[in-house]
Amino acid sequence: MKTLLELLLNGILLGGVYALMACGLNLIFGVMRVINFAHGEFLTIGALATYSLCVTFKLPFWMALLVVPAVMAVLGYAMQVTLIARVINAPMIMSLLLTYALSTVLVNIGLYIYGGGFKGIPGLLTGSVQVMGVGLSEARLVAFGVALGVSLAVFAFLKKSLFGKAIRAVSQEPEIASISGISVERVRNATFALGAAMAGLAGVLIAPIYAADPQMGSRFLIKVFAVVVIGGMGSYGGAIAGALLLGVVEVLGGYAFGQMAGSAVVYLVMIAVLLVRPRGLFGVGVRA
Amino acid sequence: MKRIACTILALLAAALMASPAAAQKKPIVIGAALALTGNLADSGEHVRKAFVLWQEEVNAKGGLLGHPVEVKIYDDRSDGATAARLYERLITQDKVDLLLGPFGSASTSTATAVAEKHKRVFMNVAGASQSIHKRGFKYIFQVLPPITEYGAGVVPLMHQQGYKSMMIVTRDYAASRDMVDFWKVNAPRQGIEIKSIDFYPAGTSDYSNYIAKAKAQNPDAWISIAYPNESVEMVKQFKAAGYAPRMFVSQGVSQEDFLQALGKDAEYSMGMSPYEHTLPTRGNKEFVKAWVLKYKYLPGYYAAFGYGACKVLEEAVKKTGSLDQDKLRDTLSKLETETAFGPYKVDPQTGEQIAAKAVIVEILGGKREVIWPEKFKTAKTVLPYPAWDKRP
Repeated sequence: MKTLLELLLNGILLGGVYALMACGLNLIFGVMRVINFAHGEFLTIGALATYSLCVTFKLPFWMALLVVPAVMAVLGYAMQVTLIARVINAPMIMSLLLTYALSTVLVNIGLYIYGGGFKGIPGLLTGSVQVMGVGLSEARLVAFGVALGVSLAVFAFLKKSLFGKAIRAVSQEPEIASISGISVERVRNATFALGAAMAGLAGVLIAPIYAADPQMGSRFLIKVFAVVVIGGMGSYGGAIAGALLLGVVEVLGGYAFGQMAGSAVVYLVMIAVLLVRPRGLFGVGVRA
Repeated sequence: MKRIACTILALLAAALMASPAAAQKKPIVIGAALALTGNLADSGEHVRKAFVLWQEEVNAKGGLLGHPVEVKIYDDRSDGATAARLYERLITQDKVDLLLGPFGSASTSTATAVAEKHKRVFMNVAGASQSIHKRGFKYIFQVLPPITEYGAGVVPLMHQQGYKSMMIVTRDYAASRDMVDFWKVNAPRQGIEIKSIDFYPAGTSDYSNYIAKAKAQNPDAWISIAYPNESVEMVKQFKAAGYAPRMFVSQGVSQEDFLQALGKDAEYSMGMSPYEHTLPTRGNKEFVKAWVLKYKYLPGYYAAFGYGACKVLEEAVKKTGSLDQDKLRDTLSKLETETAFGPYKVDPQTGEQIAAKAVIVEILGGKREVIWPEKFKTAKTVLPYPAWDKRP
């Protein structure tokens, strides 16, 4: 019983970080119908930047929490304006190729700067907290709390604020949004910046949990794609639900069938969802 | 550009330092393709530095067979197919005299096939996978120990400490499966029970399910063939879950990244290492001194692989007295020697290294100390791996 509880809690914590990444990815897809293959590298930049700030420059962790997402937003905005904006209305293969190329370039810049080794931050949030008799990692609790908090805050922002409504309008009907006086271009730029900032923040949060390296992005991105497919492309709530579900499935599946089969369970769930509900649990589908 | 300029300068300097007799003669060119860019670039760089260091040393002593030595290095971009193409070019277009191997099992596998086709002696510098020497090739000689040597000490060490059970949690790749097969045979012979064997796929970063399993099974030792990042994540999750086996051994512990990423929490972890700079092997002191003088950091095992391969080749060429590939092959298959890296002796049938042994290290006081085998010990073993709430 205790083992089950331990696995369940660990799964939910794991899901929190997936949620933050999946939300950013989904936001970008929702508004632009661009699948961002470089999203994993945004996470990597966040994690490696945190390592540099905390280990090389010896700054406190909370500084990284504030600085890194801000810098990522600027970086995302610059990429959107200079590159992504050019391919939004082109066939999807163009944006896939572009973001894939971007991902390769970023990985190699990372290798050039940091080398191929693994960077960890010693002594940061290494303690554990007892929850219902189960020891949970401080780093994971912080990551989960911040990730879910930010995901929900962005969710509320989309629902309540005027600009949030504009983002949703562009996501649903760009033409009508534009007729109603919304600057589609501005919304898209802001969305990409927001998505990049969220991935960067996810990177900051996982820096104390995992050892970071320039090639870590793809390890996470594959799972986040599964989350997005399960939750539904373009659906924000779906991404959160899918992430938590996938975290739990991964940990429980790994325990029950071994990690090899456990990883397969994740994708079996994905296939099952695709068979029964091709647009995902809460998906918006492809715009006609 | 900077790197090329440096290489040219180094070559010029080396040429100037060489004895006048050697300088006038045509150089012996030794070709290699190393991972200088791509995902293995970090590791490949140590090997490149080792080749350069050896080149300077050998030229300062008058070169090889009276000729100056020039090591010609291409970049295989960490890619096996590129490595094969570059060795083809080294052999057929550049017509180099001797070959040194690339970095990593993938490039070594393809490059050895090219060398064998041309009947060219090839030093396997850093290809650990056992499959490389299972193809009946006659010209390939391994310098680093085969992967099953890495963890060979685990069983006798556990036996010595009176531990009775182990749990194996390991990354899934060819080399680790070789290693696990070795343990499956050897652990029961010493009365050690293997409670479970789990292979996790590359890219795994969550070990909470194995920790839950370990808590239920309570094995004496947790044994892993894991990369440094995976080893780091295991220890972090041990601590968070309040779990401590009585002994924790993982391959990645023996690399610098592990120590730096974990700081104090790295203490008492054990790693498998084919080379340590403290080993009393022949010429190791001089090698470490020259390395530190030139590169300002301590050499790790990739550096030692590279340097050791050069030394073995140097000795074999001197002993043969010519660059005739078949004579050189005969020398290398019978040669028994020791370099800074460790002993060299191969199985004459396969070219697989059979003399080199790995050691087991433990992180003690922020340093890697050799604790096994007895004759290389630099510190006394601290066991069991202390519980997290009992640590200072």
